[in-house]
Amino acid sequence: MLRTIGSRLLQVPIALLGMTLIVFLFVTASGDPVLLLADPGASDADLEAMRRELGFDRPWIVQYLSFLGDALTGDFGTSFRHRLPAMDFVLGQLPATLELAAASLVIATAISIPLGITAARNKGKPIDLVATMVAVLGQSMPVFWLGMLLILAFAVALPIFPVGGRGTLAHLVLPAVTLGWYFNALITRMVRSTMLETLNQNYVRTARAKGVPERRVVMRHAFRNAQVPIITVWGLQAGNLLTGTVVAETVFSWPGLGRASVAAVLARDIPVVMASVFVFTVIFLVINLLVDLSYYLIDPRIRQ
Amino acid sequence: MTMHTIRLPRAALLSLGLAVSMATAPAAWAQSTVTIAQGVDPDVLDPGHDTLITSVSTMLNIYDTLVQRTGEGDLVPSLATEWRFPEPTVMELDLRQGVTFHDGSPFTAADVVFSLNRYVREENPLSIRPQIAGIIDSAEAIDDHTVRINMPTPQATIVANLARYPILSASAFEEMGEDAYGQAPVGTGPYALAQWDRNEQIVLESYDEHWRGAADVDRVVIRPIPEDFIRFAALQAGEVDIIGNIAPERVPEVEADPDLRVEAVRSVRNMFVGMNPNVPPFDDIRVRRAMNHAVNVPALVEAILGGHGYPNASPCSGAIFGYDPSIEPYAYDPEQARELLAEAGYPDGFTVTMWGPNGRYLKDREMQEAIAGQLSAIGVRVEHHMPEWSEFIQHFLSGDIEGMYFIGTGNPILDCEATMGYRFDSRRGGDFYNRPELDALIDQQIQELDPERREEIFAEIQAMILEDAPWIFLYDQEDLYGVNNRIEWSARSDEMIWAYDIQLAD
Repeated sequence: MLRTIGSRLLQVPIALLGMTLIVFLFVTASGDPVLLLADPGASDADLEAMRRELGFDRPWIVQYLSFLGDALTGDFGTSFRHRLPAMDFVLGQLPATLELAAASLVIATAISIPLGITAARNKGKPIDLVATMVAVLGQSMPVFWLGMLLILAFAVALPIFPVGGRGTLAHLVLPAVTLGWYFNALITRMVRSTMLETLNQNYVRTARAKGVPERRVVMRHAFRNAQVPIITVWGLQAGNLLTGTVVAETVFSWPGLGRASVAAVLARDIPVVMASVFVFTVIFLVINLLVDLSYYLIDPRIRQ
Repeated sequence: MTMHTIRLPRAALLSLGLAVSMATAPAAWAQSTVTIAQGVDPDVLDPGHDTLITSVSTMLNIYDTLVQRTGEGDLVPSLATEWRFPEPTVMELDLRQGVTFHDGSPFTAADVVFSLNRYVREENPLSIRPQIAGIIDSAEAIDDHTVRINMPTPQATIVANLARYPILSASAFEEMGEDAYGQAPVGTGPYALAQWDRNEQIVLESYDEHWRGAADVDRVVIRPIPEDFIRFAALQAGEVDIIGNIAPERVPEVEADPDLRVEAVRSVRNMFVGMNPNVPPFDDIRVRRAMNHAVNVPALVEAILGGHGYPNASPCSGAIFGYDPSIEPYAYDPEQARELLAEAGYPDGFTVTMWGPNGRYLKDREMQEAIAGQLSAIGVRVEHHMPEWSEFIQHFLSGDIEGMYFIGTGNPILDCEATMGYRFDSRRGGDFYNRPELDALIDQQIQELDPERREEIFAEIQAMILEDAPWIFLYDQEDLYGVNNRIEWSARSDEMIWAYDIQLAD
């Protein structure tokens, strides 16, 4: 277990180095931040002076190394758009994203796991049909479209929830459902198929044959064994969900890092882009590590 | 969409909706609040660094300027009460006495001198510098309440320009430092910043000590809502009171709603298709004129903007000073266009690229496609390049445009002079245009202090540009706002939303 944690931790600097380098190259190669920052009437001399001031007159490798050197000391530079330390800005936007993602994960998990198990136990029956429909709809409906539908239905026609913004529990409901929709569909399908497989295993039949109550058969024998693949997918998708909040944030005018980081890319606000990439990468790695650790809790064979 | 057909359940559920919002928003009911939606949050509330029009609109509620522009377009005293010109290049202003900043400190000449000299400084230039460089050289204090502004040459637009330079507090700025000041600005304006949750809301509270007296509305919330569709839904749901840039096809929906209305105004923004006159085929004036004869502007405005636009053959919007209303557009005449092309040696037309942004202006994509469709009738085949704005503007500013480009010209000072500076003055980078005789006229108008004489010069300039046809002249936008009937407010042609002018309807 310690070895796994150790090797995972070793991956952190490598992943961070790779991610920051790739993103830095793309962002610097794809545009000139100064042209976007200055008023359209700016003279060439002014543009040059701004470039010098912000350090964009240096070769990209020098810029990257200087970013890296500062980042090692925890300094990600100043957002030249927001005039704030880039990491402060990013961390200021993060709680809203975490809040939204956590709510989505809770709702989607609470629906998908019972629904998937029930569907597998009742294969071909109406409840199974419902689960299949949830899965198909969830995976085929674009997030922004779903968000718009929900707003039209539950904020405009029936004004139960606010159209957008953040602040209260009521603000959280529609964006969380929207963001968790795809995730819910995926996990429902995953739970259903994995459970179908384990329910057909010999040990399940044996358990039933020796008279173990059905509830215990399903939860203790079948679901326990289905957990490893489910958790793998759950973890990977949770990472995707957390780093993919931009569409839901935009549709619901929810403040958050997804929206802020995309805006930073469009404005070529490089310090904010780099700080966001750093934070997202760390989040992803932490989730992966947690998934690995959870295997130990679930599967005694890995523990030994 | 027929939202009004489902009004009944809406009324029935109103109590539930109210229950939710009351439970969620314990705002003081005694206070009057107006909510304004915009597309984006300001980057920073420092006018030196953020010159985006929606940010300026927000900041003009927090800061005052020396002169202010009324909703009718007049320039009236604000922080300056009177001004005079002891020499053509020197302006002296008397400052209003007894004005205080939001932190209670008095407003003096030092604040004006500090603000203007900061905006114009050459080293470490600010984003706002292009709007002030060449107009003001420096500012100096004569005494606590008198300021002198030095100009490089006589500036006919100096008063209009002063309406666009917000005055900062020199002492607060020094104390807090630039970056902190931009997060928590200190102005003399009718509203003070109470709270800023980035990408969520800016909350402004009426500054009761303001020299014009307290505003009618106690509290103004400015919310960034990036999606057009959602801004509209928020207006319909009563969550916001003013939204800008509503699509023409949604106007009937607003008009059908008893709680809402449309406020429309001819915008300072003029849309056009520029042609690079330095490279074939547009180096031939006959080709440029042919393009103008081939495009039916009134039909485009009718079909794509639902009539919410003003066909205009002048580069200056009809909403600004200097516009010549007598200007006659090129007649829509594809036959004549084909003849002109044949004369120029293109009997079968040609293929040309058209650059333009996608999602920046009202119906920009549809408009570019429709223009291309009309041009195809005279054999001109258009290849579109329609990236998102940031990619487009970088490409455009790098000067790397061989064919045509679709873009709009805003006008921060509501004066034809700004249009000349952005588009035609070769010494100020004016797109692809370089005509010494036009530059000479531009110099003449800027030094001419008699408004009537200036209008005559502008008429001459517009006639010259029309004749030379460097653009396919298109139209001025009409700005459309959706407004809740619980407030009284009318739209301004400069895209500013002055919260001080908003009143609650009884």
